[in-house]
This record gives sequence, structure tokens and C-alpha cells, in this order.
Amino acid sequence: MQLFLQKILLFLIIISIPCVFIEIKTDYNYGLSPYETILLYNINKIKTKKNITLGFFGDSSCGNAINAEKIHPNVANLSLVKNYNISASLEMIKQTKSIHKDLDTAIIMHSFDTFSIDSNWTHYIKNVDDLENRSYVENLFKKLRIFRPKLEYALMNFDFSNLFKISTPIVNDFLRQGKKNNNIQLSRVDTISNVNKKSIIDIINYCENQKIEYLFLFGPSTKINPDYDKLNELINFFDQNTKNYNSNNYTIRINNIGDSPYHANPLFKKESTTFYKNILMSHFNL
Amino acid sequence: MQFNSLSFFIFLPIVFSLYWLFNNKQSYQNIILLIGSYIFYSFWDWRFLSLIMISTITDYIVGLQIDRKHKKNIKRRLLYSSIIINLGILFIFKYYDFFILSWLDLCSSFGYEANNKWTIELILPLGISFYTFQTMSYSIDVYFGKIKPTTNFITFASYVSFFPQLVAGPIERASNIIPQLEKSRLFNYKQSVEGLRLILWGLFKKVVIADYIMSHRADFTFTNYDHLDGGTLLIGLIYFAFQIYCDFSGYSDIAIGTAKLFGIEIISNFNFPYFSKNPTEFWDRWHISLSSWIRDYLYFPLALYFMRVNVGRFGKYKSHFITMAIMGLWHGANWKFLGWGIYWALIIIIYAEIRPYLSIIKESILIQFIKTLSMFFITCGSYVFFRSESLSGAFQFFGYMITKFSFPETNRSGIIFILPFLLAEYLIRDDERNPIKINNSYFRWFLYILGTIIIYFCWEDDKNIFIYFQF
Repeated sequence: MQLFLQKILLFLIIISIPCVFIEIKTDYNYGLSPYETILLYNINKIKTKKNITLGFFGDSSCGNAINAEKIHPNVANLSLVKNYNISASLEMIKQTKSIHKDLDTAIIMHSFDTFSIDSNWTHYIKNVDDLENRSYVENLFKKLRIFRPKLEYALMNFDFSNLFKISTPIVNDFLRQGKKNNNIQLSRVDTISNVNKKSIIDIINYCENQKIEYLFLFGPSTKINPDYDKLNELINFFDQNTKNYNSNNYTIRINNIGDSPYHANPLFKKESTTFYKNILMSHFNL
Repeated sequence: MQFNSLSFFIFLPIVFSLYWLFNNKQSYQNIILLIGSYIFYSFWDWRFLSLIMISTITDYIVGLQIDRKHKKNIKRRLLYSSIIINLGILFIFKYYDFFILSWLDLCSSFGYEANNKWTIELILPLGISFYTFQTMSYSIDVYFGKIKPTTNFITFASYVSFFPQLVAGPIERASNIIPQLEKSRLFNYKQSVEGLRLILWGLFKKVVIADYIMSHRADFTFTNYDHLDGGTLLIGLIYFAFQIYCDFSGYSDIAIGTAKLFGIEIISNFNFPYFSKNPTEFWDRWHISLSSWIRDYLYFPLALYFMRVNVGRFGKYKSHFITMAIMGLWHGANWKFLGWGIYWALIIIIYAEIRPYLSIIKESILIQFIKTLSMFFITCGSYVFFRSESLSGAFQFFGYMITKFSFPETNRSGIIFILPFLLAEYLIRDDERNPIKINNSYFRWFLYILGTIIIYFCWEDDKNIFIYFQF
């Protein structure tokens, strides 16, 4: 039995050598998915940035379009990504308000393709402490899980340059974009889901109760496909529930497109920021 | 709990450690095995433990009573009670809805639209086809005096629920396991090392070949068969052949290996079936525990009966048809499995008729190769029934494969993985229970490490369940 256990131990030690190597070679956040990366980044921003009075809450269309620092030092872009859905914006507003009592304005900006989603990921935000305080072993498993497809890619393409690098790092205050999309496609608007109808009403109620001024905006998009034009339905919904929305959005064309029809190219972030800043100034009479 | 899940690799060392704390203490070892097995099964659904217990208690009592009673008719009634209870459980949970729905379909095809008030929509309990057959064989063997019943309930319950083979076999015989459970087990280094090697090889077959390489390619073929050319369908069928073989034989290897870790030898279930040269040989090598069970408890009695009633040249094949049809339905309550069984019955009968002519041909290496290849494609043909969604889908698949046959246009990349695997199988063909038999310890350890790393990289958590879990 002793010999058997010794050999098992030896086997485990040998097997753990590559794990130790990966652990040493990679950054602490290497194992995080893009969803987790952006969430932790923005939660950290809420905790560390001083005196946020105006926040942008939304999805990646907002994250890619708004350079908050260019608007005002007290403005923060706290956008996540599409799958978190609109309810996540409410959760982020609550998180921000709990720390920044001076938060008086919330801009909620989602792209047209987000409104039809009927699920939400708010539990990730509510349980963000678990992610922040993950154990060493848990983090190692996360790293190994991410390392697996990266190694497969590296072996298939003989390209080992990104093997130990974080897949989607934060660049320019948001997740780094992929390759520029050269085939411009029309954007589509689908029927707004019941989940999102409820989330929007919840945001309105929360902001009014907390005396936070709010404005709903649509993220940048390419021209809307007339075949899927449910835009009127969406605008009617906002009309029935609030006056605080603006249906103008930044238009994406072949020159300023990023990696999707809803992502402005990072080189045009200044231009898109100015576009939305003008809407804010006009809406809030600044 | 699946063999390819993280929970199993936490569960196994715990049970292993507790078990060998009582080295050479038979009763404690059996209690730990029994509790471990019930915990293992409860990870799926603890409520269905009651069915295992019903089956266990029934056959324990029936076995003892058959041995104690002297009158033949009382013994026979006791045996029937075991068969009725076991097959009753199996019928209610696995076949009842199928027969009701088939009856309603038949009625509607004659224009009678009946309301469906009779189906009960029960979940199919995991491993039910395996443990009911196992306990039934115990009572039958006691009845025919092949074994003496055990008086120790814990030993018997450990035999029925022995977790390495509880949910997908091999279907064990009491004559093999109970004598081992009745003795104290001493830790055996060589046996345990062989067990770990088998677990590693089984995991490699399941995780790397069946799930990572073959399953997506086979699924693609069977999902899109009406849009693909015949060559691509044939290649997809070959992928499925290796998927199901590596999935099921991988499971069996892990089961045998795990049993070895507890000092227990269970029967082999596979013996390189794709190297078979004829259908008889194939069924001696594929799912051996089921085919031998069916042979001993169904085919032989039927064949004897038909011989006695003198049914003529072709009448004798009735036993083949009945046996294979039941074997098909054992796999699942679906007409496609009946189609699978009848397909095999026809193959076996045709082979029996042409065997005298085949034996004239001299056995050169080329002829052996042709026979092996032909047998492989015949086997692949049976998988069309097995993998298709329905019996009509299977016939459509055959139709497309023949009428639209051309050089495969897509999905060809998996072929390059099959050749090295076949080569590895060929090299280890002498001993299916000892796949990593290399004298050079450095090279052997290199293979252990490499194999483990590859398994890790191909592991998709435990979402790929073993195919035979559904039976």
C-alpha cells in the first residue's frame, strides 16, 4: 500500500508541474472571462473612483462609445456587456449609489439588439464578492480552463505569442475590441422582451425614488434594417412610461465601425462621446 | 455521478481510503462498498434507490427460499415471482408508455382517435436494465442449482449495487462476484496498478476519442443527414461507430479498473470487436456481458425448445429473431431498436447459411482483412438504426447514403484520428485488461503523464454522459 501511495503522490507532483508553470507565467486575472473582466473592472472603478455624480450604465455599445473622462472628471462609464441585459444596469446603479451618495444622474444606454433578450445575469453582480475573493485553487482552475483553448489555438496555428496573455484586456476604459468588421450589416430591432420591459420600469421607479435624474439612450448602430423595424414599438413603450429618453443614436458607417454593427471604432470614441454629450446637454439644459 | 466527473474523482479516493482502512476485514469492506454504492447512485436520484432495494430484497429472499424448498412447483413459483417483479419494474418504468403510445398510434392509423389518458410519463431510472437482469440471473442460477444462495444480506446487496458496474454494466453473474465478496480482500499492489491503468485508458477513450473527436462529427452527420452526400454519411457512420465503441468500452474499462482498486475482478465487456471477421465472433467480443446473458438465459432455452418441436430448416432461426428482437428492445423502448435487433438477426442467419461456402476460401492475410473490413461495415449498418431518431429516419438515412453516394464533401478530418487509434488497439489486442503493458518504466510514465494532460485538455466537464446511461 505504501508503494502504491508513493507512486500516486509522485504522479500528482509530476502532473502539477505544468500547473505551477502556468500559475507563474500568467497574470492573476488570466483566467477571467471577458464578462468577469469587465464586471470586476467596473466594480473596482465604483470602489476606487472619487465622487461619481453621473454614470453611464449599459452594454458594450455604450462601453465602446463613451469616453467618460472627456465629459467630466466626476463621470464614470460603468457599462457591462449585452448578456448582462438591462436589469444589470439597475443593479450597477444601485451598487454605485450605495457608495457614491452624490450620484444624481444615470444614463442608461443599450444597443437595439439587447432589448429582445429575455434573461439576465444580475446574480453575477450580486455575487461579485465571490469572484473578487476567489480562492487560490479556484483561480488556478479558472486559469487552466482558459489556457486549454488558447493552447489548442496556439498548436493549430503555430502562434504561441498570446498563450500566456489575457485574452480580452481592458484597453481605453473598456474591453479590447476584436478585428474591425469590414462587412457592414444593417442593425435589427426585435420585439422588446417582458424581462426588459420590467427592468426599464424598475429603473424608472428606482431613480425616481432615489431622486436620480435619468435618461435612456440607444447605443450606436448601423442603419436599421426596415424588414425588422420594431423601432416604433420600442419607442411607443418608452413614450408610455417616461419622457426621459432620446431616440437619436450615433450612426455607424464603414469608416467608423468597430468589431460589430453596434460597436463604434475606438478611433472614433471621441466623436461618439461628443455626439452623446450634446444630447445630454440639450436634455438636461446644461 | 459520472466516471468522467470531478465529483467521482473526489468520491473514489474517499471510498478507496475507507475501504482499505479495513484491510482483510470482509464484513466492514462490504458495508463500505454498499454505503458507497448507494451514495454513488443517490448523486443521480436517491428516490430510485427504492427500486434497487426492492429488486435486492426480492431476489435475496427468493434465492434463500428456492434453496430451502424441496417441491419443484414451489421453487418454480418463487422463480416466477422474481422474474415478474424484476420485469414488472422494468416494464413499468421503461416500456409501459411505449406500448400505450404505439397502441394509440395503431388505432389512429385505422382512423380511431383515442384520447391519451393512460401514459404515466415516468423518468427512466438509471441502470434499471442492468441491475434487474443481474438480480434475475441470480435467482435463475439458484433455481437451476448453478450456485448456492448467499445467506448474508449485506454481501448480496453489495453484489447488486456494486457501484463500478451499477449503472451501465458489465452485467455481472453472481457466480463471479459473490464468492469474491464472501472473502476478505487484501490490498494487492499489482491489481491496483492495473486498475489505475484501465481507468486512464478508459477515460482516454471516453473523453478524448468518443467525446472530443467523434461525437461532434457524428452528431453533425445525423442531424443534417438529409442535406449531406452519401460519402459524408458513411464517414459520419464510421465516426459514430468509434464514438459508441470508445464511449461504452471506455466506461467498461473504468468500471473494471475501479473494481480492481477494491480487489474485485469483474468480467470483461469488450474484446476488440472491430477486429471480428464474422457476426458470431463480433457478438463474442461486443457487450459480452449482455450477449452472454441473452445467450444463456434466452437463446439457449428458446433454441432447445424449437429443436424439440422440430420446426424445420428455417424454423430454427425463430430463436435468433426472438433473441435479437428482445436484445434490441432491451436497449430502449423504440421501434428503431427493434429494427436494430431484426437487422442483426438477419445478418446472423445469412451468415449461418453462407458459412459452409465461406469456409472453402483459404484464409490469407488479404482475405482476413477483407472479412474484418466487411464485418466492420456490417456493424456500421446496425448503427444507423441505433443512432437515428426513429425507424423511418434510419431507412431514410440508408436511402440517402445509397442514392446520393459520392466522394465525401465535408466532415473528413476525423479520419486521421481513427488510424492511430486502430493501430493502438491492434498493438494491445492480446490483453484487453492490460492496455498499457510497457516494460520501460520511463516510457510508461511518460504515457501516463501525456495521457492525463491530453484528457484534461479534452475534458468538457461532465456534460457528455455515457451513451449507455440511457438504457
